[in-house]
Amino acid sequence: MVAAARGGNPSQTMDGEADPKSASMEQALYWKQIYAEILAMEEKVMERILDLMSKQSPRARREVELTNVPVVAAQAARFRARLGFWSERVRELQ
Amino acid sequence: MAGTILVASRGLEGENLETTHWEDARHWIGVYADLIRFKVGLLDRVHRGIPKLPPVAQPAAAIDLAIIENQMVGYQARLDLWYQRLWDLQGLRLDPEGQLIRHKGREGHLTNREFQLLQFLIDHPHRFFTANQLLGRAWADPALFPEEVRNYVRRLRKILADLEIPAELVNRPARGYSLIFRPDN
Repeated sequence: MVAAARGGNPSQTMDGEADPKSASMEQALYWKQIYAEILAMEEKVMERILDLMSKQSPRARREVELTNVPVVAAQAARFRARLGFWSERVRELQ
Repeated sequence: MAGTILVASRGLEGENLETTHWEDARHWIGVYADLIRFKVGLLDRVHRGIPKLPPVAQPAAAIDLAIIENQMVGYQARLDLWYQRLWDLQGLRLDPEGQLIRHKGREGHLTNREFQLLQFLIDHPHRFFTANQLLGRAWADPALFPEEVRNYVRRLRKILADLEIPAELVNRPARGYSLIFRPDN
């Protein structure tokens, strides 16, 4: 799935995002916080998907497993990876 | 995203629009209605979550929104196709020339506005429309009042009942009117 692949690319940055290799402590803390927040939201979306799936017919559930779950999982993986980069940068600078 | 729509417009595994069994159409209507309900629930969650994020993170989260909305468009298109197939298999025919409705050997004549309203509801299955929306979209007639919609709805319900068409023109508070297939017949 193209969307899932794009959403899951950990090198994809947000608009204005600094480079973790050269970022200052202030920048690193800022982007760590941003990714922590967006990852928390993505995880809530996944929780909601799983909750809604539990009320679906098997066929509809299968379709959701093939469409929404990979997209949200890929997005979450990307945000988790970016959070990892920024957490590492904070550790380096401490 | 385009790939996702393609999947939905191509249909799910086991789906066959050429079926000659109306029960199959009913089954797939149920599946797509279920999927659309799922998307609505998910969209609600994402819509509530995005404004709480820092502005810089909102575009990244909005990717989810665009994907879900596009998938929903695809499911709605399949649902429309299955409704069309269902009416076809149920022997429901609308004749715009004579403003007639036919169902399994029975026939009824509709006024121009009755016909337009019924045609609109059949063409937009499983969606709800308020009286004002129906005025603008089914008739595009500013001379009518929302109260008059109730009158036309009552008349259409009688026609559906007289012709034993297995559908109900339901009215849900805060949502409006919708033509829903009644599977028990």
